[in-house]
Amino acid sequence: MFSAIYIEEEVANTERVESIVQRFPDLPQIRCERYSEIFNRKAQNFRLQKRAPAVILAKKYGKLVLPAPAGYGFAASASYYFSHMLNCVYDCRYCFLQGMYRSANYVLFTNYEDFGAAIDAAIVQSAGSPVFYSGYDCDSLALDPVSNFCRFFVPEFSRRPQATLEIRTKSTQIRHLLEMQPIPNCVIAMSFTPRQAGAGWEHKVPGIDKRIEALGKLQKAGWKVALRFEPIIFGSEIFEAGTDATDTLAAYRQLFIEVFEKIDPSTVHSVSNGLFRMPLGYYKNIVKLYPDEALFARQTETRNGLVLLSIDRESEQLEALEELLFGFINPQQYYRCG
Amino acid sequence: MTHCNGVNLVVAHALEAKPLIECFRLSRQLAAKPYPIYGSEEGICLIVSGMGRQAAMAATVHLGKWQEQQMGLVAGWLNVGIAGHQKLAIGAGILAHKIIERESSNCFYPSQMFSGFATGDVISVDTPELNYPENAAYEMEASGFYASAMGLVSAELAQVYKIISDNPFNSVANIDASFVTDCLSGQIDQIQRLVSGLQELAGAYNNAYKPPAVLVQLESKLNPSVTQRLQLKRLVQRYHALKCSDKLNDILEKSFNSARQLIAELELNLRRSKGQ
Repeated sequence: MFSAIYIEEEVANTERVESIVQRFPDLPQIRCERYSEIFNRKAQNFRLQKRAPAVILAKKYGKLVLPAPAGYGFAASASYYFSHMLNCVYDCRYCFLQGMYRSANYVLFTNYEDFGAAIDAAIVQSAGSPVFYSGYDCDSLALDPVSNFCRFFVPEFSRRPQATLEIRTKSTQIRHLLEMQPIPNCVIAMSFTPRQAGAGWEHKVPGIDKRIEALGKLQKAGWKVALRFEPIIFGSEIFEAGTDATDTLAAYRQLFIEVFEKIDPSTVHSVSNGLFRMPLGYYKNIVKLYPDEALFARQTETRNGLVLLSIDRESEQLEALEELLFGFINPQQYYRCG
Repeated sequence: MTHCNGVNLVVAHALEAKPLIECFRLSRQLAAKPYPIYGSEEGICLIVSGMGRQAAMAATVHLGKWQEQQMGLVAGWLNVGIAGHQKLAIGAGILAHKIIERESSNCFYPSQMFSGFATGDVISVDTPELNYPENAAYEMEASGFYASAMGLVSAELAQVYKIISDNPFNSVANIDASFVTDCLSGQIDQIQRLVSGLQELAGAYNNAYKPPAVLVQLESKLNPSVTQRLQLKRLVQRYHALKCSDKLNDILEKSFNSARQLIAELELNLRRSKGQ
């Protein structure tokens, strides 16, 4: 799972860190002053490092809860995100994290109690019912057996019924959730792309069938579940025959059929679509990292600092996809991710 | 040597070099001065740096520059040598997972890319450490080597492997020429494993990032500016990534008066390509 464990001196003797370290007695344990010595240094290659990532156990300082990017979530009320972890165990080629971080190592911030306090402070500041997203800089569930993220944060939100927690994931690590009583203000949002896109770009990600099965188990157990069909990438060579949007739509039709065969749409919390887009700086970094990747060799355009793929009749295609989706869900359950 | 999966070995002393030269069948590169440099057809290269971190630093830079002129590809780097240790037995080998330069207190963290090796802290000192105060390997070159290597390659491609030659029960005074060679020979399988791992990594790196071959032809023909060179490189990469190499070749067969004209043509054709 990891090639080594780096441990910040400051957290080395905490109970949480000790219990994590005990799980991996055979891994090199390397002490450091600050995680940034390893994570932020120059002369690293994300692509090579992804072959043998290490985990860095650290303490998070500064702003622990941040406003969610515009258009990120489902709520009109105040939206925030928090990242107890940086980087993802999966290796999705379209993911912005590759361009955001120099290192493919995972940083796990173990001062969960400080995150809890920061969430409290954000709730006090917010009018209405704020939403807190976890899964922006990482996949929160993927390392849950190690991080015990759910065992800490779900009870935290059960004590804060005025706030909602969305855990965005592609993981099937749901054991801890199934061991708990579901709470009404926690949403497990599973991301999907069509099978062809998964095979082409989503390396190390659990298969669609497994993810549907996991989400179905959560739904049956009483958890609120949501569906995130992101990122949508039209007209790719991934969808054989290549350019025709109908190929993409056909792939999505198949995906929707598979998902809604097992997931009861009537109780799904929300469903979203979102086109591939990425901040320009990250995109440039990723192009350097993967000059041989067809996805990044495609024609692009930049709008408001975001790179988008240049697609003919993009909005028409997106509308067609939405129409397709509305054959399975109530449009009121849907939002388009900005 | 134009090898896409080369590995450079940096050792302080000729006695440490000897078993490596034999193992990897290296031969002296007569053109290389002032350091003794040995090489093989398989892309393995060895430089004898001399003792101390400054010497290791200088030799690493020297070898990097020497190779840059020769091949323009990235190699793996491995510093191998003997070290003292507080606890480890004589002949044990450790892959450095942290290098501490005692003089400056600077720390380096080689990426842990290879499994199946014992790992540990390595402390680089300027004079031999006889008391072994910490549970670490004491030696004199690793920090200099690693600092220089970081200027040449990314952290994954530079590693340090130390073989224990002395400890509190076996004094450094007992080390003689044959003992050094024996220490290295005793760990040759592990060193070979590391070299293979580095070769594979360097190969992966070079395959991903080496400039497309056609670029060299274009550059000599059209004399592009620095900006145009970058534009051409990316355009050629995009044609390859999109599996449009045939179309690229068709375009390149035409004659162009300038790099600018070629770039315009390449861009236009990409826009017209399917899926664009």
